[in-house]
Amino acid sequence: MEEQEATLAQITERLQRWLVPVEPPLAYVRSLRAELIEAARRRHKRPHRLRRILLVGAAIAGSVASVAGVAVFLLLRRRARVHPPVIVG
Amino acid sequence: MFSLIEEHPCPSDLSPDDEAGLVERAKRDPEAFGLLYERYVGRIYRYLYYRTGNHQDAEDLTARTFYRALEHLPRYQERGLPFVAWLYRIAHNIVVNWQRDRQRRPVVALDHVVMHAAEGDPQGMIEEAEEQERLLRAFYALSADRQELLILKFVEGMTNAQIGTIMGRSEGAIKSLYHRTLLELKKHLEGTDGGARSDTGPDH
Repeated sequence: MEEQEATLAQITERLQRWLVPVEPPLAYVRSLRAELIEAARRRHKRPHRLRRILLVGAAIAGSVASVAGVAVFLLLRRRARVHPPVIVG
Repeated sequence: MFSLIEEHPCPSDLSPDDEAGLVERAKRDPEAFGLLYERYVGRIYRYLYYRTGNHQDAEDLTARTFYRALEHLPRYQERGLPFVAWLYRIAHNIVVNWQRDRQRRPVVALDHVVMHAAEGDPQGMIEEAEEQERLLRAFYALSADRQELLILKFVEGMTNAQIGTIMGRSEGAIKSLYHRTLLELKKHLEGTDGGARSDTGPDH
């Protein structure tokens, strides 16, 4: 039992000697950071652009609906003048 | 802009609340995501370096890990675990898929052997490199969770409680897993060098 503990302690010592921290190259870290931030900016811009397109689209649709409504109203009023309703009685 | 790259900060210098705030900010602010990246890139890189066995693949998989984190960050919810636990989980999944796709396990981290065997007398250098190679072969023969445990313990210097938080297990379970891992390493080493050497080689 003691022998096994001693062996495990030796393995632990070997692990401590060989599993040591390594650092990523600084140039790599900086370059990846720049790429990630650029990707994050693009991701954040995308919803804004979509929202703007939807907003402009809704405004155009609203304007067209208003103009069409006015046109229909004027048309109906004109027809009513040309052919006035007949009053029975 | 305050940058952590030059300063090699200790990752624990933010309180959990501060970290949660930074993560929330990172969902909207690319610069905040940059700060998270700077804070954890070293740890994720080291983890992937020891899982893959070389710098080139570690760089590739580190980039994939952070791109995936960026993609999934809007759906990230803090559940009482440190943010780095989530990053380790992503890195773990990426390296497991990478190993499965290529159907390979790293035989030995050659970069590392060369780096550590560069000093001392020629005979000592050879013995030292061989000793490390045997240990790393035994290390790569372990299952993924056992490798992860050893990396967190020896490379990152974490306690069993901290490792338990990262790996989603209790402190006792980690202690037990560690003991079983040492026994398995002993078995692998006995198959290659007749047990742990009594002389541990030259110091460096």
